[in-house]
Order: sequence, then structure tokens, then C-alpha cells
Amino acid sequence: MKERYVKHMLVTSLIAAIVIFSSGVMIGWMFDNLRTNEVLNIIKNNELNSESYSIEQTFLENIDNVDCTIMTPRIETISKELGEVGQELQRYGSISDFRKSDFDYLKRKYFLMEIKFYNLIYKYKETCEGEYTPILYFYKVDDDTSKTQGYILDEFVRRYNDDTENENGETKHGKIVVLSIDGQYDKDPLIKTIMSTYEINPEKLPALIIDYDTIRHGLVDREELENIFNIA
Amino acid sequence: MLIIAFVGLYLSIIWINLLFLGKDEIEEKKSIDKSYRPTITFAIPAYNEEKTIAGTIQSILDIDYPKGKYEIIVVDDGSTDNTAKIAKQYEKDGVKVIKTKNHGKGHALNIALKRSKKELFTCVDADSYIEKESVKIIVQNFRNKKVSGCSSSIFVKNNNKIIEKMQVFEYMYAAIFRKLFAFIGCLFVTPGVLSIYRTEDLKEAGMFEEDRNNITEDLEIAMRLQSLHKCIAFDIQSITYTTIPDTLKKVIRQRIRWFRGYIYNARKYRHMHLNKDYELLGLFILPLNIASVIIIISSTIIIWSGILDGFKYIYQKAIIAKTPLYEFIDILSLKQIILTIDFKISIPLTIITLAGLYLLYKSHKITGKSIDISAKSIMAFVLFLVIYPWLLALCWTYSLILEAKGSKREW
Repeated sequence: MKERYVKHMLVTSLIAAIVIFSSGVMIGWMFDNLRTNEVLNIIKNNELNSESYSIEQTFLENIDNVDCTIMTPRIETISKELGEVGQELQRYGSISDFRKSDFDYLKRKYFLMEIKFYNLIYKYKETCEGEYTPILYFYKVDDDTSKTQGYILDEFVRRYNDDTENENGETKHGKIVVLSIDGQYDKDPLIKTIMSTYEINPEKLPALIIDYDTIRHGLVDREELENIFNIA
Repeated sequence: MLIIAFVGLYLSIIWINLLFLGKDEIEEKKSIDKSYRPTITFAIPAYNEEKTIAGTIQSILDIDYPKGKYEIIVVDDGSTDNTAKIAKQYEKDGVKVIKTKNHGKGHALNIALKRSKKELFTCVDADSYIEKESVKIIVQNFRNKKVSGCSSSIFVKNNNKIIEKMQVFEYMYAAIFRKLFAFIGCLFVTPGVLSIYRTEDLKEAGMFEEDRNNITEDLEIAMRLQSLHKCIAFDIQSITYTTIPDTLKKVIRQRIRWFRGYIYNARKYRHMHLNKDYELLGLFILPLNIASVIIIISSTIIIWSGILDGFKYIYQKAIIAKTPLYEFIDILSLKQIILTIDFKISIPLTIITLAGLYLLYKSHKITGKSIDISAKSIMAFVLFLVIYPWLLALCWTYSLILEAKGSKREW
């Protein structure tokens, strides 16, 4: 008798476990939607800001009244938003189970936005020289050297950007903006084009393109970055 | 990780379900039939136990049981210390002391068993202390003619150091799990601390194994009784105190002995695994035990690889990138925190944790042991949760390696 109801208990426990586990999976699925929406909202906002900035830039150029004090804060906003997109993509993309393809789409979109921003800065620098220096950082996913390079860049840029003014409140130097791109991402030809233009070998990542012309392969440590940016 | 989470969830539900299903039987305080007082032989095999033997004998002499109904036989298994001398001091109280050459615990028990003419035969480790009421409670299980063996709850005597307090939790979990196993007729261990058998059944089963390769004779005899379709009970309300290892090294040594003993007996009785003749024991509990070893080792590897990644992250960020520590912590909004939760893992883990805490609470409640909420005990509990599984995984891995290499088994 006991045997029978214990067997029955094993089956009901299995059903309960499946129901609870499935509910966890279902909630995970619902949250995957929320996660993609969250990233998408920031991306949409960033797109609008980039577009608005582009139009403003063209407008000011047309009337021959380019003013760096107007452009710089806008660049800063876009840069900040892009950083947020990158962080959210990294945070949520790794735990997504059901929206992998959506996250892949968002990742591609993010890379394109970064390259678009890279171009915007190029144009911006023509008139506002020295305000912003872009670093295009090509990394390899799940690669220790790339991770280390990422942390070095984070810390270097944080210190550099926090230290833009001297004691008298005068501007010492501009800011750096890092745009990170998966160097082995093969779903967008644009990334390959940029890499081949700069002769970056996808097998020798990480790689940095600093201010459009300085190219470095392999790990670049803080001292080397300080030399490149002429920091005493 | 997903498989581990699911299996853990399933097992947690089973134990909780069983606890509710068998609530009446598990929590019931057995009525004591005062007319049922079977005769008992208490056998104390002892090897170099001069520090504890007197206490063990005295605890048996003090039990609440008619004096004429039991005998105590101390078998000194070739001790090189004063064990026999101390035991002999109790001869005036009727304690019989037999000295033999050192042939191992199984042999020592069999010497006492061969002499025993009593209805029940009890093994008591020479560092165990039986509570006054325990025997009269535990013998009640033998009113059921199907019961061949029964063991008691084990409490820890030396409970001061953190390492000892950690083991207290292990013993509390063991008590509730043994009760659940016994409830479904699947208990396959009768710990030497205090286990009591029907003498006739023991002799019929071929007595204790004397092969010194077997370092867990208590597990072997229980497996043998189960293989003969005998019933093993567990009395959670009958309590015996034992002296536990007081250093990490001794704990590891003891666990390795237990685990190697388990591997030896799992191999010896492999025919019982997945054998439908043994019903739940063969089809579920024994395979589950093997699965538990795999789970504990693999989950430890997963957790350790995560921790190593963490160290690597700290090294890369702090040492190479020279990032100050305050920059390590990402301050997330509540929304970000919620969105970062991986529900398919966190829901099972939450249920497993709650089930674990509930089982511990029930174990305390049923055995009547008060919950120690001292700072030291809470710290020991945290360490028990955090370190103990790794320690066990380490001992399991080492035991498996030793068994694979065919290393000599030692006490």
C-alpha cells in the first residue's frame, strides 16, 4: 500500500517540479521581452539623438555658424547613451534564452550606431578639434586578453575624462570615447570593411584604432596609452 | 547547471512531499508498551578508546531499562592503550570484557554476537553515549515482527568548535533524511553509534563482515539486510550522543573512510541498483545516491570555475588595469537588478534553499533538539552551507581516485 502511494508521490513531485521549473522558464521568457524592450528603448532614443544631432550639424554648417559649445554636450549625450546600450546588451544578452536572435539584431544595430557615431565625431572634429578623441576597440568574445584590454581602457578613459580641467578651471584636454566592436562579428560586412581598411587581422585581436590613424594590435597597457595621449 | 537545478528542485519537492505524506508516522511519539521489554546484548567493540570507553559503558548502565534484561560485552580489539583495563573496572557491574588480537570491528562484533543469547543485539561505538530513555524507545520498533534492524538519531557530544558545530548540522540533516528513507523502506545504513538488530536475523544474514577491506561494516550489514528484503527502521526520537572529529584533518579522514566504504558496498551490492526486485530502494534511492555524488562534484566544479573567473576578473581589473576597488561595484537600479535575475535558475534554487531550511527545522522539532542561535552556531551554519559541500566534493573525488587506484583502505 505504502509502495503505491510513494510511487504516486514520486510522480506528483515530478509534475510539481516540471510545473515550477516551467514557470521559471516562462517568467524568464517574459523577462527576456522586457530586457529586449529596455535595450530597444535606449537604442531608439539614441537614434533620435544622433539624427537630431546630424540635422543640427548640417543646419549650422549651412548657415555657417558651427558652434562647438552647442555640439559638444550633444556628442556627450550620445556617447553616454551608447555606453548604456553597450552595458545593457552585455548584461542582458548573456542571460537571454529565448530572444537570442533579437539580441543579435540589437548587437548589430549597436555596432552600426557606434560606427555612425564614429563618423559623426570625425565630422565634428573638423570644426571642434581636440574636443573628442575616439578609440575604436575591436575585441574577441570570451578572450582573456580582450577582457583585460577592456578593463584597461575603462580605467584609463575614466581617469582621463575626469581630469579634463586644470586647477584654474581651464580645459587641459578633450575627452576620449571608446567604441567597442566584436571583431569577429561576421553578420555585418561593414565591420569587415573597416577592419580590412585598417589592416586589422581578426585573429590578432584585441586591436585599437586611436583617433582614426594610430593602430595597435595586441594588449596595449596603460603606460602605452599614456604615451599615445602624451600624459606625463 | 539547468540539470542540477531541476534535479535539486525535484528532490526537494520529494522530501517535503514525503514529510507531509508521512507526517503522522514520522512525527508520532511512539507509545511505549511497558510489557514489551526484549532482552538485549550491548556489544562495544573498542580499539584504543581509553578516553571514552568508561563514559560509553556508564551510559549503558544508566539506561532506563530493567537490569536483568540486558548484558554488556566489551570486545577489546587488540588495544595498545588502557581500554581493556578501564573496561574491566566495570566487571563488578556485570560487564563482560573479551580481549582479542586486532582483527577489525566486524570480527570484534561477531565475537559478541556468537555469545549473545538475547533477542536483540546492539552495536555501540566506544565513543557513543546512549541517552537514558533511548533504549526503551527504540526497542518498541521491534514490536513489528518485520523489523530486523533499527538505529537512533545521533547528536553531537563535543559541540564547541566551529568545525564541530558545522557537523551538528550534517547530523541533523542525516536524522531527518534517515527517517524519510526508513519511512519508504529504503534505509540502507545502520550507524555504529547505536544500532540495534534482531539477533536471529543477524545470524541468519551471516553476521558482520570480517573482511578488513570493508571499512564501513555498519553500511555493509544494512545493505545485506536490505538485499535479503529485511526491514530497517529508524527511530528519530531515540537519541545517542557521539564524539565527532574536532579538526578539519580528522573530518576529512573520516569522510574519506565513509565514502570509500560506500563505494566498496555500492560495488558489492551493485546487483541491487536499478533492480525492480528492490522496488524503491533499487529503482530510486540507490541510483539517487550515486546521482547525488555526481551532482555534488559537478556543481562544485561549476561553482569553483565561477569563483576562479571572479578571481581572474579581480586580477585583470585591479592588478593589470589598476582600477580602484570602489569602481568594481556596478550600482544598478532596482529595475536593472530585477531584469538581471535568471528565473529558471533562481526559482529552483530558492525552493531548494527553503526546503533545506524547512527540513533542518523539522529535524530539530521532531528530535526535540533546540535550535542554537548563538553567533558561533550561525557562523557555523553559514560555513556549513558555503564550505561543506566543497569539502564533501573534495572527499568524494579523492575517495573515487583512491578506489580507482586500488589503494589500501584504512580506518
